[in-house]
Amino acid sequence: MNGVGDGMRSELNIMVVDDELIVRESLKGWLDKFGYHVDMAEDAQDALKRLDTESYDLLFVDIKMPGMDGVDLLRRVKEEQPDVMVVMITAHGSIESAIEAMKAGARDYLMKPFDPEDLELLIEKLAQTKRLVDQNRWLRESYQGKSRFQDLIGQSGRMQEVFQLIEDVAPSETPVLIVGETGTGKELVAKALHALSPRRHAPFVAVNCGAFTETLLESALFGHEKGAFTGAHHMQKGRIEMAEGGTLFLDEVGEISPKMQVDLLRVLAQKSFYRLGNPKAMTADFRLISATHSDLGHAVEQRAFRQDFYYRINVITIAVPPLRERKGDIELLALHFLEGFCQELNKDVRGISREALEIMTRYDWPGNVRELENVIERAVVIGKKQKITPSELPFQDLGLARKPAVGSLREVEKSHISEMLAACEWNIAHTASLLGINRTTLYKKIKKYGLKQPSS
Amino acid sequence: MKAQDKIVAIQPLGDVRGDIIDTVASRLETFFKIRTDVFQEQAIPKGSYHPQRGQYNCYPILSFLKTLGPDHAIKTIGVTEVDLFVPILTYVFGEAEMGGHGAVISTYRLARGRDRQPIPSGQLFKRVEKIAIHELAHTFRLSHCKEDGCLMGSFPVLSRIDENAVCFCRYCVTFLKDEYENLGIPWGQEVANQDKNTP
Repeated sequence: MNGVGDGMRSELNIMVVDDELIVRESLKGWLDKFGYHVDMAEDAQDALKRLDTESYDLLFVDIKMPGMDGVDLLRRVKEEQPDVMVVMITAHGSIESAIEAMKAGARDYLMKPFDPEDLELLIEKLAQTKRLVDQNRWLRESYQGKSRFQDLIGQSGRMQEVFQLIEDVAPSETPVLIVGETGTGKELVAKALHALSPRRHAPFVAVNCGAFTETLLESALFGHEKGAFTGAHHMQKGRIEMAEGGTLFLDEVGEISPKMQVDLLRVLAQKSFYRLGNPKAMTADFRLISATHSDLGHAVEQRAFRQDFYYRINVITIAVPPLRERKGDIELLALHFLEGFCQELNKDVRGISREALEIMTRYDWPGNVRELENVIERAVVIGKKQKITPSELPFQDLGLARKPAVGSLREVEKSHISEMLAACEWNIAHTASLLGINRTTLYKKIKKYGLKQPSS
Repeated sequence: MKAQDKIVAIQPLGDVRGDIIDTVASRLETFFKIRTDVFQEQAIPKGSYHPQRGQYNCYPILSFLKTLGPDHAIKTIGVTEVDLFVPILTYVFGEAEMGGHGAVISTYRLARGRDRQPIPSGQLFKRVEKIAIHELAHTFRLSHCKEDGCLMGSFPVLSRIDENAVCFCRYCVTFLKDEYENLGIPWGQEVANQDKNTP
């Protein structure tokens, strides 16, 4: 394990597009040493395929390539994913092609071979741009609020076990790791633990580790003094400080970089931390609750996650079951969401028809409770009757309502995502919204299952 | 093979000054606390020379290094006086396989000052030591680091090498320790524990 590689979230996700293998490998080798995640594509078509299934921050694109050339690829990328930064590279540099590429939206233009210092400065500049974009997005999302979940709901045996465990564990100071698929309500479990703990009168501070780059997460957790780094115009308290006396909830803890794992391990062991730019140690008094949708035990075996940090955060594990394993709760949850959306949207939908409930119960809910919430919201928005009927459910058209899913969970999930993608004409944002998962998770699942968009 | 039998092989490539080789061997041994053995000089592989650039490509050299050295050499570092490059960069001071077996460093650019004149031997030895440690650490899976003063920072220019002390930040020490454990190499407090104040 080292740097920020090894499957952890990298500060920049990069693709090198060049028809020359030696150039691709050489640039990848150089970027690897900075801990960036780097993929390679041998031509524009290969690059476009990868862009369909993987999310990139930066592309290095050779101008002269067989088939679609680099400038045409740049135009396609800017049309489809305008946030992706593109740097053009060529051994055949000319003012004309440089001007053309810059007009088409390229961030910069480099001639092979590069001066090492120029390349490093460029990468640092682009990483800084990405950090600012991420920060803006995070601030926007924080403002808008992340979840409409009100309470943990469930009468199934599996959820009763979870409730019992929460009651048993809440009064102690022991770190808890909450595991479960995306959309199962891990943050609600964390909030319940806090609410039942002696720390309930102090803040509950949640940090979505997957939403930050390493640098931003460091600043978000530890805070910074004015002038600690470029752009630090004023002192800012970190989440650790904000959680004083209360609970610090690290969501998506599996996304924390190895460096941050080392830092947090030290905070947990020494009960103190340093604000960035301030040599004075500050006392850390919080209870740590972490959550993940990934298999951290496996990540430890693969050396992608520190074993010592894993043992420190995983003293007690609470596993939140996926919705398909507690289908008895579907009706209760659906009615709960229905009531909330009717009030919010000022609609008068009074129930769910038996047929619709049957279909919802047969469905496997890969996006879990969050997907159910989205389905109910959609039904309330488009519904014109007093009850939700099968025609308001998004899985009607996919045939899922007519036959029960057959096969392993993996096969069912793959099949469902594939059908939803087809139904949405591979519109990633729309599909992710319907599935009740975020776009990154959808991209990961598309990659995991090797799903390909049919050529038109 | 016992852990203490493991060595780092120092491989002179072409004609290299003896005091440079001695510096690499002794400083790596001091820093990594792994025994170093100097091997007989080998010619630089012919295929690595690029006539248009007048430089030597690191990649064929790294492949060549894999074929050398005894079984108990856990790493091999080549040392040369010729100018090195990788295909996308105009030059490099050294190159290494991330988490791999080999690294190579060159004194060609390290031996010159801003005015392109030769620098004093003491300064050259310090530069050679830093680049050798940096490149060898890449073979122990250490990435470039952004911590102030860490020798695993990126060093595209000589002035930054001169300013940096021979030390790793606490993260890089931790990651190096992880890799030692993984490779079954004994770890002690003195590994990578160098004077932080002397550039």
